[in-house]
Amino acid sequence: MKLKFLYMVLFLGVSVLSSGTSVMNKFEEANNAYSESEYDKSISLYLEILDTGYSSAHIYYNLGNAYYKAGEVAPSILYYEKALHLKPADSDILYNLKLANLRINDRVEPVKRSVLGAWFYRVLNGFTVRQWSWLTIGIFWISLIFGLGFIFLRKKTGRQVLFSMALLILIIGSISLGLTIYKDRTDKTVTEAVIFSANVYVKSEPASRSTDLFIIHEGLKVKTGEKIDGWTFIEIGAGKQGWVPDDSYEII
Amino acid sequence: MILYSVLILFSGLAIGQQPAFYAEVNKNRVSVSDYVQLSFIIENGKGKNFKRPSLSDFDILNTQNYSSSSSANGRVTKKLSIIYLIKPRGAGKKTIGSAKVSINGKTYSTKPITIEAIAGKVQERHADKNHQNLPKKDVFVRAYLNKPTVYQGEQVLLTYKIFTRQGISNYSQPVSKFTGFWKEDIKTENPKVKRETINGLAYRTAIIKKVVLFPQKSGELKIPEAEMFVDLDVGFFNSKRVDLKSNPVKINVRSLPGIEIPEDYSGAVGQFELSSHINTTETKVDEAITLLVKIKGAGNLSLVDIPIVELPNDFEVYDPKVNESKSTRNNILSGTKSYEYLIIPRQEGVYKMKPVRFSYFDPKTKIYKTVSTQSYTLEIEGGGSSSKGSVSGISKDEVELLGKDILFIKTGDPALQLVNYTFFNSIPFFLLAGAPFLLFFGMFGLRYYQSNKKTDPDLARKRNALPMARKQLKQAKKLMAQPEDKPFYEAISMALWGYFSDRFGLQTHELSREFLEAKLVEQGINEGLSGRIMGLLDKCEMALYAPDIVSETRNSVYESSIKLIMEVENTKTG
Repeated sequence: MKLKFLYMVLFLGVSVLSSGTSVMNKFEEANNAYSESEYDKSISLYLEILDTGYSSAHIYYNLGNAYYKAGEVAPSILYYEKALHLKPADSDILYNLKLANLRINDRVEPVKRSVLGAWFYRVLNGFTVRQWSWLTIGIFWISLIFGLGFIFLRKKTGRQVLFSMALLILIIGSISLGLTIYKDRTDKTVTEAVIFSANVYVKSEPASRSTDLFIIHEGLKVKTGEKIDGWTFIEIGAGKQGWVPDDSYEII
Repeated sequence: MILYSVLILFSGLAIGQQPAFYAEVNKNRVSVSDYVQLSFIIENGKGKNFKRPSLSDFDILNTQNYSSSSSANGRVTKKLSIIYLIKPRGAGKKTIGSAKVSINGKTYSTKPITIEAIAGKVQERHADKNHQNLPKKDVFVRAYLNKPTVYQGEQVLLTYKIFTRQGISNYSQPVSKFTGFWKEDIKTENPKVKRETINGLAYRTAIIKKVVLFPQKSGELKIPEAEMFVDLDVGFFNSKRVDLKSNPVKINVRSLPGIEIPEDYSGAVGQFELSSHINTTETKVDEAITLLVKIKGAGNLSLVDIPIVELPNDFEVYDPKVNESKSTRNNILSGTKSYEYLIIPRQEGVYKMKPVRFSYFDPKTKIYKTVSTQSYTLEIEGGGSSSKGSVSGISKDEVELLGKDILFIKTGDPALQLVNYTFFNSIPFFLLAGAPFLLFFGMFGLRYYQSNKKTDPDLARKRNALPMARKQLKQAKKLMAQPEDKPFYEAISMALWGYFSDRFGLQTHELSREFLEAKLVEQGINEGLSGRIMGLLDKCEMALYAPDIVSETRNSVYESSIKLIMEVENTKTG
């Protein structure tokens, strides 16, 4: 127990080494299959790795590629999105996702935000919760260095400078912590999904008899919310929202 | 005159059960040698006090009462006719005045009738070669509307009827202007000739034209008199062309109610039905579907808009082929308008086609109605990979991107991590994030503890000794201005004692001359200085208890106090 705890502290976020060889073998096998255009084979191999309970941005990305090459756009978008959750700013993932999104039917107007708002979300979504957590911890430690300097230095003016520096960095750290908490919250409450049915009528109420509001097609990314009796509340782009059957999408 | 007679005739029919009283003649152009039959008719009532007009221009040849009853539309009309056979006295226009009668206590009167008596024979006129003088009243045309008030867009029937007492070999269609109307002619081939008697004058009548009109605007609309000609038979193989004008007609057009108008209402007025037919509901991408929508009913069908077929963008719906057929039965224009839509699915999936809706205003019930077809579910199968190519709504840059291939997979270390493990909010996270704070406060506390150990209360006293003494000496200086010595010396001795006890750490019980002297020695104050200190303290004490002995001025005491304190302050003590 103690050992495991120590291990976790030391190797967080670092690759898991145990069972590494068999996974690595499979990963290479899958990559080779992809190179030889055997996309179905590589898909099943990547999925086998994911079945072991481990994930990685690389595997999601490669799996997305394999699905794309196999002509299945919706799953490829699903896995690119999953890869982005682990590596939010990866340009390769973003590029391939953009290409995949061109192959779907629905064009969603991006939500219009103010310059400040757009900047805020770019910063917020630039890191995963884990990365934010590490960043926050790092800033706190830097603040500590200045704080200790303040405690042990005897010179009056130097102490003042160090104290304000420590305080400033602490404030930055607190903002970082706030962003970490916010990012964690939104990640948990705002779940996203990709539509898998060929087409779905979005309903005004969670009942099949209710009005059809609009129609969406496979491959579209939606935000999901409340679930009632086999229906899920979804939202796309600029305020368009409604209910779709639970079996019409896959959670990212 | 004729108008008058006709009105009488029609009003008599229209009134029905109501009592009525009117006058009639069998002809109103008469040869002086001819007779006129004048009738006063009481309908549906017992007339009392009948008073005939003065017939001084006529000779009364005979009087006769005649009663009859007739029934029309289940209504029985009883008539009592008082008939005079009269002969005009000489040529000229002669007027028959009003007759009066009281029915059920109410007095009714007839309108005057003018008789034109002509010298010579009236019959001769038909043979007369001067055709221009043909009497107009022998042939005339009248226009009737079947409803006096209609809604805008509601159909109304206009009928032209010709009345003639002479043979007609030919006639033209009445022509008029129908501004403000959309019109549809009803064919009236081979009009039926009827016999009608108006004021005793026998006419042959025929409906020669029927027009269905749809008023396009509200308000009082006028249809001007229609113009036509007739060719009258005048002897063998001879005919005379006569121009005729009908009466103008007015119609009151009500605008459609402004409440509860359906959203998709586009101006149809009447009674309609809607039906639809689809050739298939299961097909493949790019294979056409044909949808037929039919609107059937009575009303302004030609003005009906194309119904909208609502389908998602995954379908291409082409403009429909439109077919229209019209018919008039019972003087009502009705018809069928069919729309044939070509629909081509472009995407696989299961889609719902919303019912096609059609709204119209029903003038009978005076409300708007909406009818709709059934809805269809279209199951579209995929037609191969080519269907994916149909992308829409993309920008220029994106078109360029579309031709490009995705980037290659990533090889190398996949950097595996546990799916379910979250670092944020875990114990290690809290430890790592909290540690800097714990460390900071720990170190701060340690440092504070250490510096606290160095500072004891005596040291603080020692540090405060000089400022305190200064304060008290300042007080003493103020007291110098007072005449009495006592307060001044008290202040000086308090300042001195306070200073020394703080400076050398004397406790309260040690505040005595002996203890101070010993302390001064202990602190390494040289004897000269300590002697002067003690001397000054003694001086102050003496000044307090035996003021007369003291010779020194207060000022010199004050000065020396300051001097002594500064000297002690500058001496290094142990």
